[in-house]
Amino acid sequence: MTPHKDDEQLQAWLQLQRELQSPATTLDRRKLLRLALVSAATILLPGCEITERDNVQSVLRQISHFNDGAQATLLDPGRRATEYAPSQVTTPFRFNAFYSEASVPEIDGNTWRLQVAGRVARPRDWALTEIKALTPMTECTRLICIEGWSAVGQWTGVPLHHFLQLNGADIRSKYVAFRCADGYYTSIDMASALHPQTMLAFGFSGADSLPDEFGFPLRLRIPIKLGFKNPKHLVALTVTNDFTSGYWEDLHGYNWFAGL
Amino acid sequence: MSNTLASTTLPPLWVRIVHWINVFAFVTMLLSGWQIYNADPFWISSMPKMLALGGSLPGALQWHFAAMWILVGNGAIAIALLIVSGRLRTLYLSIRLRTLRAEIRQFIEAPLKHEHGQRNAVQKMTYLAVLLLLSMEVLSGLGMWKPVQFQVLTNFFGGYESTRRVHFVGMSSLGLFMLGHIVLAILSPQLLLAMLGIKPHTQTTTEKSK
Repeated sequence: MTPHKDDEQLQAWLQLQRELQSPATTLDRRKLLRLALVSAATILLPGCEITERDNVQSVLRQISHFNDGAQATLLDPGRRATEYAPSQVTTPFRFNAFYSEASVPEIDGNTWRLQVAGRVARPRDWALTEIKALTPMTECTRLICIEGWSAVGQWTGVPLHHFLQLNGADIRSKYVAFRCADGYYTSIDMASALHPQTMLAFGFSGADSLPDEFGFPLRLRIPIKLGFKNPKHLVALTVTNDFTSGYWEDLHGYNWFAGL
Repeated sequence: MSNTLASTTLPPLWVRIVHWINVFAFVTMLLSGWQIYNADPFWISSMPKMLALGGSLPGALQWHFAAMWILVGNGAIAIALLIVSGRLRTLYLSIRLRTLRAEIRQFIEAPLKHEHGQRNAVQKMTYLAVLLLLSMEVLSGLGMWKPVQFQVLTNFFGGYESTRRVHFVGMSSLGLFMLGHIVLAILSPQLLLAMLGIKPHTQTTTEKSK
């Protein structure tokens, strides 16, 4: 808020108060019209800045946190996202990241490793060939971006529940957290991690490897959550009881659960 | 004096309360919805940025998914009270087909004629349509918010992309209604004041003294 705008708002308030306190609230149309305009000005003057005020932002984030709980309650672990035929995929598939397509990290698949850590019986680093040797699944599902757009894609990968089991993960833990080669990070609830459609994807559109812009060499594909909960270029997976939130959640206050 | 008595009657307190809570929730949903729409517009290149609430997409989503609880909670209470009090039946479901044409003609000739506690057929149909549109907006909103958990709704509206457009059409219709509603309220200040809980300052002169 600039001081100038504060003044305008104060004046609008005082004017509104005067209008409401005037003794004869008669059926004077001109007065009513003025009252309506002054009220509208009072509401609109704070404009876009109201969201950024500390007390407003604090309340909004508390409600968003409440919505995390509400969504966890709504989640039916057995309900599957709609699957499509390979002929229904969206081409070209849309690129999206917090940087432009030219800045996509280039990773050497031979030296790349996925570090598995946290509440697992056998913490270790996985090579790409080892992950690709596991029994894969292939599914065409709709990726829905928080911005509103959506695109159907075909992904191949290892079911996350199977991968967690292989690493001896304690599935009573609350979260699975991910770190990426580009600095991105996010975390998901255990129930969503164990969903049968959630996978560590290494293949796209029938090919057995991911294009750089869609997350080479490994990404999370979770069709029961919004697009930004599908981290690309994974380098670490941690099973944990510590809440570590995510990149967009910390930066701008996106809702953490982001379930579909 | 009976004339004066009738015209100073205010809408029941619960009507006034749910009405103004709904105004707050609906306007918040509308303006934050415009900001959300601007993140990925489809039919109109941009909704007015001056009026959009939230500053940018993250803030707008916070407002939208906070106000939805108020809109739905207040709406559920309003519909329950409309049914229990009999107001829905007596004021809105009482459209008589026999006089429909005459009432429509009357409305076109004098759109502002609106006695307390009475509705003509056009007003009854408009308010019923608003109730239906609000319900459609809530259902299509749920279908967009949870296209997996509430896929029954998403599929009913023709899939995710189609549900977004249904939600847009509902928003536009309700926005246009609100615009007309505000214009008519300003042109009929006695009704606006009554909804604000202010008893109109009626002339003490009755028909006898005229």
